[in-house]
Amino acid sequence: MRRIRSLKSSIRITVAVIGFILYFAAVLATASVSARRLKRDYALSMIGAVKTFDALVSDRLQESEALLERLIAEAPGDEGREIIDWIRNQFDLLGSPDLFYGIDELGRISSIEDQYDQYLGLDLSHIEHVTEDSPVSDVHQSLFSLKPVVSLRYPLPTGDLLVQEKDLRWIIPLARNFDRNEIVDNGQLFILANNGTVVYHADSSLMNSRHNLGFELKEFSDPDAYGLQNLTYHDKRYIACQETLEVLEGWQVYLIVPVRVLYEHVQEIGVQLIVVLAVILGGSIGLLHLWLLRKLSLPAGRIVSSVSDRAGRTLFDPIPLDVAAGTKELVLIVEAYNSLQDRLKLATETLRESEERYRILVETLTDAVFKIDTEGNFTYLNPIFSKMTGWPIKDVVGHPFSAFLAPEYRQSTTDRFRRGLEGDVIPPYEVDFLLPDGGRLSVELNVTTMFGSDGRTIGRIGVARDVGPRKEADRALRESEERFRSVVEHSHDGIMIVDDAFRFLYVNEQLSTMLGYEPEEIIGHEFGDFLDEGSRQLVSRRYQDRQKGHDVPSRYEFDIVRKDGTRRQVEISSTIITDQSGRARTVAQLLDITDRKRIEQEKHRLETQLIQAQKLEAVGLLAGGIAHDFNNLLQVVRGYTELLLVGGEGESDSPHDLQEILKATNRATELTQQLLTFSRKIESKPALVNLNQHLQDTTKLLERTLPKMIEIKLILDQELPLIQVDPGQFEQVFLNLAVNARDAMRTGGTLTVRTEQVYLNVEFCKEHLEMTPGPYVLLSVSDTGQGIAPEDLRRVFEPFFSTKEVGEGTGLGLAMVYGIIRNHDGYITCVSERGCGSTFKVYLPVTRTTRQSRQKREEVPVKGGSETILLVDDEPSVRDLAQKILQRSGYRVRTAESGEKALEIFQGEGEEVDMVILDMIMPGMGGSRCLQEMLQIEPNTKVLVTSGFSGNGSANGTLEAGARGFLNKPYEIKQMLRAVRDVLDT
Amino acid sequence: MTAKVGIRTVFALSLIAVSLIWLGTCSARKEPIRIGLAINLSGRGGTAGEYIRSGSMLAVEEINEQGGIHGHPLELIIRDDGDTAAGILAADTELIDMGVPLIIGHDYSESTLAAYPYVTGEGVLLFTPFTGTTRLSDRDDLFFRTSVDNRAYGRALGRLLFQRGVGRASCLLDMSNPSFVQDYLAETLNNYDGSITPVQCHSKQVINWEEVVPALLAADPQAIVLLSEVTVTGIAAQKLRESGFEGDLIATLWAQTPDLVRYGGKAVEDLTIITFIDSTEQNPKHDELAGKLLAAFNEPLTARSIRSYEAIYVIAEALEQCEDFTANEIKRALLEIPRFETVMGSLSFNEFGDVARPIYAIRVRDGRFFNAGEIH
Repeated sequence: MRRIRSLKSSIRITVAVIGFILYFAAVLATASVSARRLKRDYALSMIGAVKTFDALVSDRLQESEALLERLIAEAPGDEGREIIDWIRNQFDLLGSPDLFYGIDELGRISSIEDQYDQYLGLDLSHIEHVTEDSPVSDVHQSLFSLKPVVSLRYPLPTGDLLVQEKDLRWIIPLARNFDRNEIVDNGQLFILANNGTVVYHADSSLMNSRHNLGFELKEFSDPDAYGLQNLTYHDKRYIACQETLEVLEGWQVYLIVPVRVLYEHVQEIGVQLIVVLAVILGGSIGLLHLWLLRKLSLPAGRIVSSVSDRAGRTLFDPIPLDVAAGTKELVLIVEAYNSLQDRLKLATETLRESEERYRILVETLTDAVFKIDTEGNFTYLNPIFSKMTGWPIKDVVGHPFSAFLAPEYRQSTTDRFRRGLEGDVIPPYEVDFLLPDGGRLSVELNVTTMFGSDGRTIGRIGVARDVGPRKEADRALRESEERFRSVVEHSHDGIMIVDDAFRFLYVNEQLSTMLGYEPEEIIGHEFGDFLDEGSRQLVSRRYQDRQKGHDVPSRYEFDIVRKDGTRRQVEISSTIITDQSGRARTVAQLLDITDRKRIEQEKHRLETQLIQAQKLEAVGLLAGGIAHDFNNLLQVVRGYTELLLVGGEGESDSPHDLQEILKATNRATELTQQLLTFSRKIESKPALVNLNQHLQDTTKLLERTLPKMIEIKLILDQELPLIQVDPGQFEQVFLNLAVNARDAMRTGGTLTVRTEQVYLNVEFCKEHLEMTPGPYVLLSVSDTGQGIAPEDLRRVFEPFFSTKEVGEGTGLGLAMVYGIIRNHDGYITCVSERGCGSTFKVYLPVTRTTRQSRQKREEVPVKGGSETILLVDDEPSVRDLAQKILQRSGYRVRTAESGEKALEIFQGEGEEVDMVILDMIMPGMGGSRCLQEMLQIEPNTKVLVTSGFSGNGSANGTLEAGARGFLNKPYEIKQMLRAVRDVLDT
Repeated sequence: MTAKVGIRTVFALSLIAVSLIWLGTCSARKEPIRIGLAINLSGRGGTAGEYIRSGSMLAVEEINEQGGIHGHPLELIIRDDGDTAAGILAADTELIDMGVPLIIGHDYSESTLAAYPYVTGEGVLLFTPFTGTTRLSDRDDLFFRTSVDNRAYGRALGRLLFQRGVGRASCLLDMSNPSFVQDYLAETLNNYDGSITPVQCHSKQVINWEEVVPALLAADPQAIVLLSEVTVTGIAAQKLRESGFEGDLIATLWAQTPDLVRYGGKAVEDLTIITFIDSTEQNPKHDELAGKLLAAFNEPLTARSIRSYEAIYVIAEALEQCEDFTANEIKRALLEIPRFETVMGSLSFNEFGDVARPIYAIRVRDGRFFNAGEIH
């Protein structure tokens, strides 16, 4: 574990390190500056000294040369020897140590000092320093004096050569002031000839031995900024100042100083610097250290103490801000700590509550919870474990988990445990626990690894669930599944499952048979592939509507196309489910209703026939009564007409008689309309009906039919809501009930017709299973007849059941009524008591819409016209009457008595005809065919069709054939004129 | 990285760096092996000493540039003996006090003889390329020389005189080096049946040529042997030629320097030097060594410089074989190395530290030395 250092210690070390670095840097910098400055000073001194020495030497040499040249010029005598001797004497007088001798033209010594006269005549013509042109020779040992000399040559006017051997020791006095420590400490001044031979050196032995010092000066550097060079001499480094002698090219003056000397000076300065900087920096660092201590370390220490104190006692009280000694950051730390404390307090409380909750949760789970350490021993078990297994917890904790497993599970579980510790994710698995009584308990273990705060594995934690019930449930589920599979497979209905693209996922055997394909030919294909186009669109539309949430019928019908091409009608019942993976699937049940449909159609046809038969029967019943009325009315018409004819013209009762005739005609028209309405063949066309209105209309008819001793009473609820019924069928029902009531009151009585609105509640519907709760209109038809015996009452709606004499009825009337009411989702009951009468109660469901089924035409004034109308009718009186009506209204009329005639006129004068009034029922061509021919000639022909009977075609049929309007006979004049105008205006 | 780790790391690295530098410098600063060179530089004939010095310094620098002696630099400490007894003693004393195990010196037999007892008595090996006296021959001592002794010269001179049909000869004896010249003459007389008339002079004193020259010519010699220092030899040659002597002039290697021509001029043309040193251009290694000397010192290759150059390399080779650098260890090495290959051929020391080398007749022609061949 890494050592943690205190702030105080860190500050101390950091300040010390920084101080040392600063100090070291300062020393180096200062030393460097000092060294440079010192070197500069040395350079200035050395260069100055060298230049000065150079000047001295040069001056002396020049002085000597100048003197010699002057003496040469002033020397008396004409012979060389004389001159030379004289010059020698002059220099001797000056105390010069130089040796002078003369060389004659043959190179022989012609003159020399007496002490060397043994060399007179010596041939020196082979000596370089005598023969060379350079005025100054190399340093050499004098043949005569054995001293180190240089020879200077001066040609004389006599042709002789004066040779001056200059003893190099003349430089010594000049250099005395530049010797060691005089100008530059430890400086060595010397002069070297151009071949490196010592000309002058403070060490005279080097001069005497003509030492080649130049050979020993190594590693010359280039001059630096100060003009100094570095060199090595006898393995020691020197700084050197070098100068070429002004008057003697090739001679170099050197002043060298050991680098060590410079370092010593620097060291000297450095020591002073070290001391001074140590004092200054040390003091500064010390003050800084103290300040940091005061402002940082001590307050931090106080903060640490406060925190430690609180941590030790688990207190949440805040630390006073003054411990931070006014240091902003520390103040912020204290504030943050205090804030953290508050949050920690809150979090601690929250955690405590959470822990309590989790403890309660674990303790009260229905599954056992356990912990195992890394050694595989139980360390914790919740109470459920004990309850589940029967083991006391104290007998389990601390023991290895494998000891409680059935032997066959120990190895595998131990392996899983080990792998789990190594980081593998172990899926849930089942094991058998050994119970104290020797039994076993199957459990499913779901175990995960626990990690400590440092991320290390500290054990495993898991949940053990008793899977006994689940296993049992699984077994039961499998059995159930098998059963249902058998049911599905053997169902008589086709069962399929398709996906959201309507592809087959499953078909049972029945559906396969239904489609005529093998299952493998079906699976994967789309359901629509087995449907015709219309059915495919229907199914798709229903599915989409369901997807959108619209109300769709739970069952609907369409056609499938078998493999052999035949079609079958099926009824589908489907539901959308979601499978385990969340995908939508449609489960559908298909029922082959082809046969059923055929049966229903047959039944419907028979029912329709029955209804029609019943209607005819009723019509027959009605016709008798209506015929009687018709005779009466005809009597009126005929009588008044005869009176008018007989009475002649101008009789004042003519208008009255005509009015009577018109009234009778209107009544006859009304009767005819009623009968036609009742007798027409109707399709099931439910409409919103005001029941009271219909009852009133039908009652008028009934009043013609029923005997006068039967009183008809209408008790109608004026607030009765509309109902959705087929008006024609409803009339059929009412008439049948009325006829039955009449038959029950042969000696007279009262027929009461009541309407009221009722609400059928659940209790009522429970007893009348065919009904559903909701609002209904109740029609009660009561008589005061003989009543129905109880044993007959329950059979009263059976087909062919009748209590009447033979020939008085078919026994199908009430059965028909029952069927019609059921078709309208209604209900009919009968209550009766012998001798008191019977009441038939018809319940019809209420519709929500309030719209009337009848739309009353607005009364508009009838306009005439001037158009040309072709009038076609085979009945002359009708034709004449219509012509008069039209002409009186301003129209021009052409007439035709047949379809052929009309066509002939139309073909010849068709352009002048603006419209045609065409009777449908005519012999020969007939109105329908005449209409077709006219429309072929001119498709835009405006035709108004008239008819007294539409038995062979409805008004809608003629309109669909191309007619612009339809007029029923008999019609009122204004009806006709209105119809004509409407057609002309189309 | 924490500050603490950083500080420690920096400190450790600094310590390592300093140690390495110190070790490096230590290894670079191996102790030099000091040897002394004690020769005449300021006395008469000192110019010849310059050549000895130049050859020695060049050889030492070359050896140090090649890594020295097992990494130890060779340091040559030069002292001028001034060709005086006091100077010889002072020079040798100073060198011995500096702890040198070997002194190369001196450059005359007389000087060497004077130094011998003191130097060898101090346990320092005395090594010379310049001494011919037989008085130091055949001794098992701390004296080694790469020059032949006078017995070889005596045989050669006797042979040469015989070959030239010289029955009468004179001999100038420079008594500044008596142990050489007298020994030389004695050995010659052992190998010569003719007559040799000796005449003495002293190069360190004023020579009365007016007496010396007639004395040399008195016996009407056919050849005059000049056993003298180079300047005296040159001057003597001039004097003798001026006096009409036309016979052979024969000199020793004492005069085998450029000063012979400087001071002898035309008089020394055709002079014969009896020497074992071939520093002529006929020596195949002449040009390379001559080039180096000219570049370093602006000097020609001379008999002095070639001998001192050779001596340094012989000593260095021996030092390579030494386990320690003491006189006896150097002696052992010198004796155990069977043959030294040098710029002047090969040489071997006998058990006494003497050598046997071929003797050549070097003649002066057109002011230059020319090897006329070995004297058999």
